[in-house]
This record gives sequence, structure tokens and C-alpha cells, in this order.
Amino acid sequence: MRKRAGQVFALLDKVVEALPVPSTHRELLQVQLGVGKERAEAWPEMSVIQLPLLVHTAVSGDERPALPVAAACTLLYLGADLLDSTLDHELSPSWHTHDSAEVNLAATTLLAALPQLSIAILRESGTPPARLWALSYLFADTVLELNAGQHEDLLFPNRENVSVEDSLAMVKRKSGAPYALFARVGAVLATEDSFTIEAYAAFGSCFGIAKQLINDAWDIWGEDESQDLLNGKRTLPIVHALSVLRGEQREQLQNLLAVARESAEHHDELRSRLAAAGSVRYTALMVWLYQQRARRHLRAASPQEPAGRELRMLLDRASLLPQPEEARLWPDQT
Amino acid sequence: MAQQEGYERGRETEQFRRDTALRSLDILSIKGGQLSAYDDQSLRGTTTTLDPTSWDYGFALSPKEVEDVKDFMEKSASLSDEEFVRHIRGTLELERRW
Repeated sequence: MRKRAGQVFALLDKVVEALPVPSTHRELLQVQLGVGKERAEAWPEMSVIQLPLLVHTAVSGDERPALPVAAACTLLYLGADLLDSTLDHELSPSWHTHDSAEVNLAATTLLAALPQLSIAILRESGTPPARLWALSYLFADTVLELNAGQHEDLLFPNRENVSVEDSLAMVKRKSGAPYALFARVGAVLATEDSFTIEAYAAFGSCFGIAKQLINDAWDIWGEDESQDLLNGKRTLPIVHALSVLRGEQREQLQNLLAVARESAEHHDELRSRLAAAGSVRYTALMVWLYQQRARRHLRAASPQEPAGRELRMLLDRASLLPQPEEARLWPDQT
Repeated sequence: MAQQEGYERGRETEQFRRDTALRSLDILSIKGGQLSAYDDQSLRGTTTTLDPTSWDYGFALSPKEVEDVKDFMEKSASLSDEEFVRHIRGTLELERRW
């Protein structure tokens, strides 16, 4: 997996180096490329790199032709991550010396221009224009859905009642859509069989939703200070608790959510209330359901081995359910 | 082989009849029955409404998904909320990433 990450970032270096832009703009883009490389170094399993390559291999037996689409997916991710980090006040330290206008420009170039330029590399290997257009369209369609999801995520803190259904629909747009793209483009490049393409896209969507819910759970319970609570986000665990609590308990939770935006002082109390409402277990169940769905879609796609096994391994890790051996260790640690 | 398995996009939910899904939810809400060990209010959020929107997002469980829920309940029945939280804190910092 590390080798694949290295190959994708080597191609991205070439793409950015060849851009006909002033060196100042190129250097701006390289800041975010550097952020991505650091993450890939720490976590080569990055879905944005692995899914397009593994799906292409699972269909055709060869991953190399898919490098430009994996690079395009990575560019989309880097742009979306930059926007998301800006919205959530979580910018990487590498960006701290740049003003917000520069950050926005870099995100726009990464999201709107560079994926298409990376796809254009496929012309060199004889990919027909119709397929290039189809790939390009998929990226445009995904950015549209992703940004609509981000917008909802941004608006939810100011809405009086956000339902569990609203929350999951937002997650499907914000994270299901890009993951569906990562898997779909690998398949589109390898086959014209719509049955196979749709199976991989559905696998990607369910996988992406599971990953986002894991991210939401980690943000609340993974660290002492929750950025989502500080930002007033209405992620699934919070929406679930608000939907099941009634009367005074619900009012108390709403008051706690309000003060949690001011400081992390009450985050522990809030976490306890969420757990008491069954929200950690409910989120784990939702992750489980989407993981099982993804598993069935992947099975239906009949992936070639060993790529299929690697895809299943990535999916197996997308769970909030402690493994039995992990659970057995805990009593001794406490 | 894929065709043999009868795969169609979204067949896990979209193509099941809503009344079948409602019956599935009824099964899940039975108290004192097979699922009583998991009557932890966690599913209450799934039973309040069942409109066409929720149909798309997993609240109308197919019979197969009811089995998935039972499987989850069996696997998690002996786990406390604290154990879920320890798992999240201990192992998922990198898994949460794209």
C-alpha cells in the first residue's frame, strides 16, 4: 500500500511541476501536496489512493493504468480537505502562514482544475475521448454533491430540528459521494459493464458513510477537546441523542451543547449524556449496517484476487465494534 | 457470478416493500423477546418515522439487515458503553481518515 501511495504522489509532483502557472501559485499547491504526503506516510491505507487502484485491479488484474485517476481522486481529496479544514478551523500548521484568500485559491484549483488535468494524462495511453469525458463528468458531479453536503453540515448547527434522516443524508452527500467516486472511477476505467461499475460505486458509498460516522464518533469520544462540539456540529451521535431524549433531559442536553461551543470544560459531561442516550452504541450499529452493506456490494462485484482481499481488509477496519481480543485486554488495563 | 447473485443497485433496501420493512422494525421493537438484551433505547431513533426519505438511508431495514442488527446485538451484548469509548480512543485515530 505504501508503494501505491508513493507512485501516486510522484505523479502528482509531475502534474504540479508541469503546470503553466507562476511559481508562487505552484508553491501554494505544493503546500497542500506536502500535507497529503505526510498523511500518506503515516497512513498509506488512505482510501483515496487505494480504492481506485484496487478496484481497477480487482476488475482488470492491473493497477498501473489507474494511476492518473487515483491521482485525480487524491487532488479532489486535498482540495476538499482544505475547504473542510477551513470551515472547521482545523487547518494544518503548514497553512498557518498563509491568509484565508490563498487557502481558498489553493482549494479551488485543487478541486476544480487539477483532477481534470490528471485525467487528461490518460490520453497518452489511448483512453477514448468518450471515457475521458465520462470520468471528467463524474468528478464534476461528485464535487457538486460533496459541496452540497458540506453546505448542509455548515447550516445544521443553526437549524432547530435536524433529524437522524437529515444527518445521514448529509453524510451520504458529504462522504458517501466521494467514496463512491473513488471506487467507481477505478471500475469505469477497467470495464464498460454497468452492473460491475454500479456494484463498486455502491460499495464505495457505504464504505464512505461508515468512515464518516467513525470520524464523527472519534471527534466526540477520541480526544478530550472535541472540535465538532466547539463548532456546534450536529453529527449523528448528537442528532440521535436529541431525537430520543424528551422534556427536561433534552433541554439539558441542548443547554450543554450551547456551552460546549464556548469551551471544552463541559465536553466530558456532554459525552456522558450522549452515551447515556445510547448514542455511541447507536452510531456503532449504523457503522455496522453500512459496513455489512458495503461487504455485500463488494461480494456482488466479484473482485479478482488478491485485490478483493485487500479491499475486504480495508473495509473490515471500518468498525466501531471492539474486537473480542481487544475487549478481553481491557479489564486488565483498568 | 455477480449476475448469478442477482445483484441490483440498492437491492438491500430500495426494492423491499415498505410493509416488509415495517414488520422488520416491529420485530426489532419486541420487548422481552429474543432482542430484549439490547433494549437500550438505541433503536428508538429509527422507529419514529418511516417516510420515503428515510427509506433511502437505511431506516427501512431489509430482512437481511434485520439479521445484521441481530448479529451486531449478539456481538455487542456483553460490551459496555465504556468499552466502545475505549475502542474509539485507542484504535481509531487513523481509521477515521479518508
